[in-house]
Amino acid sequence: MTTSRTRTASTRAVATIASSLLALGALGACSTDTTASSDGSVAVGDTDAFPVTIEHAFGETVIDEAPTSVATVSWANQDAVIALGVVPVAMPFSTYGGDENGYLPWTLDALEALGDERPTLYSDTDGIPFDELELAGPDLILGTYSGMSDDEYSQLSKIAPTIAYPEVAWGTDWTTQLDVAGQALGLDDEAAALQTEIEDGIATAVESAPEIEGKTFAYLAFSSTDPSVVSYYTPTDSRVRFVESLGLVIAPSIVELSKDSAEFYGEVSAELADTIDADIVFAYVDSPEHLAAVEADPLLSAIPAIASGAIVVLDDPTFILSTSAPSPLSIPWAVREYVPLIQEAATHVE
Amino acid sequence: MPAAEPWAQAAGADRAPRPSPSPVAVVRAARRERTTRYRVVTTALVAVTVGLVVLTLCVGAFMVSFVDVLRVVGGADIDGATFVVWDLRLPRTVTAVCVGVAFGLSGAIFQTLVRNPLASPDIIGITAGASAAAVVAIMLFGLNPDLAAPFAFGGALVAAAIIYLLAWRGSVSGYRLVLVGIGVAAILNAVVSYALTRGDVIDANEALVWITGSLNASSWGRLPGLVWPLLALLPVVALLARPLRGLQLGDDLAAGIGVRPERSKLALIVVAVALAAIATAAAGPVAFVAFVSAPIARRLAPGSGLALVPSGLVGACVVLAADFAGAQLFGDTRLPVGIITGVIGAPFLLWLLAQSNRTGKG
Amino acid sequence: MTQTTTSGQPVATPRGTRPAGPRRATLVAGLLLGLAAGLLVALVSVGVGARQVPLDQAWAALTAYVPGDIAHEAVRSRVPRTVLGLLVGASLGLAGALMQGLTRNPIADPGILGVNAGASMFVVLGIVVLGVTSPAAQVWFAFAGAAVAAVAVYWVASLGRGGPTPVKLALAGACITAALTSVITALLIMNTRAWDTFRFWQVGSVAGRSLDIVGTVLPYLVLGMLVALASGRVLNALSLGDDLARGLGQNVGRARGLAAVGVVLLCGGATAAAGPVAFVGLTVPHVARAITGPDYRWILPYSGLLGAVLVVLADVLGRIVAHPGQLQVGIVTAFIGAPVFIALVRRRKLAEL
Repeated sequence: MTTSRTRTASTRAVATIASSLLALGALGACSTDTTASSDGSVAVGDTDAFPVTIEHAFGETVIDEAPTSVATVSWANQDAVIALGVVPVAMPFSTYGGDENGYLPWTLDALEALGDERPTLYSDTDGIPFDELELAGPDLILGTYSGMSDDEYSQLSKIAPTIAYPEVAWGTDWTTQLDVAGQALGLDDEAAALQTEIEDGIATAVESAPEIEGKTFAYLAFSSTDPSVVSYYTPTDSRVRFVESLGLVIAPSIVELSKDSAEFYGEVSAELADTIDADIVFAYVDSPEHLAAVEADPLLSAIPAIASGAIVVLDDPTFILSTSAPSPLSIPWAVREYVPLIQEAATHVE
Repeated sequence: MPAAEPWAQAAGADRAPRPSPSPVAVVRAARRERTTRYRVVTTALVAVTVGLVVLTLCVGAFMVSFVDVLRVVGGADIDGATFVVWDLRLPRTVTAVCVGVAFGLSGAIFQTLVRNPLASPDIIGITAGASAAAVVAIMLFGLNPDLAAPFAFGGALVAAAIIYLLAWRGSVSGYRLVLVGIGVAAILNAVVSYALTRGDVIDANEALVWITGSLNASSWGRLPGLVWPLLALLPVVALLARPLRGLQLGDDLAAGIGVRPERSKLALIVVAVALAAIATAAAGPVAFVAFVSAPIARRLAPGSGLALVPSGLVGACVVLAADFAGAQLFGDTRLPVGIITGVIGAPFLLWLLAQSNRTGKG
Repeated sequence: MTQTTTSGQPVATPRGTRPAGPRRATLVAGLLLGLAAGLLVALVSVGVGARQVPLDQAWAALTAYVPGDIAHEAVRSRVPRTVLGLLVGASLGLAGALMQGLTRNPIADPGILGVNAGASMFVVLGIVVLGVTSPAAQVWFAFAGAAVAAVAVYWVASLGRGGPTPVKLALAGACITAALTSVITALLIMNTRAWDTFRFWQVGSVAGRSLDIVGTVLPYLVLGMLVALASGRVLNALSLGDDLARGLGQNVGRARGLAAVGVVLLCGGATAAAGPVAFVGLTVPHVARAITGPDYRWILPYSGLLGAVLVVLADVLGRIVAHPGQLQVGIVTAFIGAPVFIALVRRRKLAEL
């Protein structure tokens, strides 16, 4: 079995589910940890908690003392660290969805709230630049959400204790990211508290929008190059699971279409658009003009939600990343940004 | 300079039969291979390769002095420098040299065998086989690109076998091999195009980096898979140099000097494909290295016949220099080695194309 | 060596001397049959799709259209792709025959000769540099790129003695394709959004193109077709070799130039509208030649018809095999055409084709 290194959608999904369960278990474990600091400071980890041992796909990593400089690899991992009030020494430059300085908006917001300190941003266009990480001199490298290979893991381990994904590549949800970061930094309690806070925030946001509860949805991608097909994300996809966490329900037709598929993504001809029986459609489009073209298309406009205007328009890579690579910072951001859009879309449900 | 560039005459041969060089010319050409110029060029290339190796070991985001590099290689443990030099740069540099040599030799063999400078493994479908297998593995099977190597290796071999079998008609003609290769490459490229549309853009981007060619995944752990096969193949290449030199003169003349054309061709193709396959598995199909190495080598050392050693050395220099440029010359952005070789190789390729057609005037 | 020399024989083998081909009446009947076949596949293409629409309803969609009726809309949505398929197929078939006759080269094809790569390159430049993602605007980039690449490949291959021989042309095309692909990758690797648009364009498809796009390229395609159909006599003369053609009173340079303009119009327009569709231009003229004999006045119209039939069929096939999604026409034609190409180059006397 090489599941720990594959990253197909199905395994991604299984991982998400599995890691959610793991996270719940881990949380229970955390609450029995009585050595946590009590003064509420999140700037410095609890030194008594160390050494800490963290299990992951490539074995166990022992962190002997509270890390003072953390580097992160792959997307999203910096967010868990920053969410806990620690500015990493090095993190990747985001070419996709980031601003011209390479920051994703939720990451930048959180960094700004912490002060003027900024990490070194490195380019990973050619893979992880190990020498730049070495130069940054971290004493911990976090790659909880990643698809690193064991070669990459062993190189990183020579720089500093490194934590890979728990079981399945790209399958780590935000609660696990937060939990692992909390353990690694000696900020267990803060991580647990933050998780509760974020979950409460989601719950509040969902409660404040009761009209979206139970609405069915389909997560679709439209291509401006070829409007004769519609792509849909299957129930295994992290985007779809995020929307479900807001209280919506995936449309039966999408479940039906994806039932034999292990992929996170499928295609259906626009001629069958009317069978996409969702109250609300989440629609990836290139631009507002592209959306107008979709709405004007005689077949695509046969999707009931497109016809009624119950559309959550996603025409920005940042939006795509916020839920396809979910993190403790991107999820609250996504909730804040998505819920009003879903509410607006829900007013059009007929 | 009749024998200086094997294709200089051969380019005319796709139109009309030409008089074959006399055996005396053959002997003379063989002697010329040991000329001073050849030795000077080879020595110079070794020096440049060593220089580039030193440069890539010392310079980077983390600067290490030459003395420290020597100490690290000698076994000293220097904080930071040992990791950067020993664990990162040395395997990467060794990989670069091996990949360059392998591609350089593979290209030189193909180009000589087919008598056309344009007939390198990247043009005639062999690296396309590697790409198709790897992209399918990444996009459809969801594999980490680092683990695509065995697929790439297998893809290259299978593509080469298919091309060879399809080109076989009692014997293998160089031109038929090239044309069948182009046809097979076209199907494989359609497979790549299709696979790239399946799945989301992040995966597609990783696949794109893979099909460009990158050395970033080099490590001591992966080196044996490259170094040992290469070391095993080098003596075979040396053994096959003589039949190759014979085949350069045409099948009939080759047979006349005791070379069995079909058997030699098959052996040469197998070796050249194996070289391309191990290099592609290690670093992806680094664009145009196989293509440019031999032509550069032969321009540096005209009159040296096959110029296999210089071709391999030029390949090593090209990969080393391009990888260094990709990492260092673009500010904060690090580009994969294949982008650099591709963008620099493209105009060179066009120039060479025009040039080789011109020299076809004969 | 023997094979090399054989395949490297002078390409101007006598073949324009009109050996006994089928009779004129048979050929006319064949053309009519081809037209009927075209009409038939067009009807099949309009009738078959992901949505199963009964025949009477499909007919009603065309004759008694009710806007908003999804069955009617589905049937009507197949009309532009069918029209485009016919046009692109006819254009590529004619372009292939024209290229093959012009270069006396059996393996000329816009895909093989780098024309597709040229179009792709310009489309990428449009996306990356100017942010052009709408297909209507991409048409112009593809058009320009196809023209530039076609001219470049032909020019490079023409250098040196012997002119553009099959091998020189194929290699020039493969090399320019490889070179342009490298540059395209360099442009896209840093620009994930552009890459996301391009990866869907590069497969080649007639699906989902609006009639606007058909309208944009139609004048160029029609002009190109007229040039192509008028070139039969010239190609026949050229097939005797430049010297003989000159002796027959042809202005060889001008004839070549005009036919080349036709090629660029046809390939550029087709690639602009459908993206890179390979092997149609290669395959179809050979089938046509097998039917008609060596007379280009017949090869050309047959190639156009057969090309149209092939592309529409490939599109229908793509809809059937990948239901409820679809396989793009460029993928299907690659799998149909490449084996033909390989069978072709396996023939011993390449130059005599």
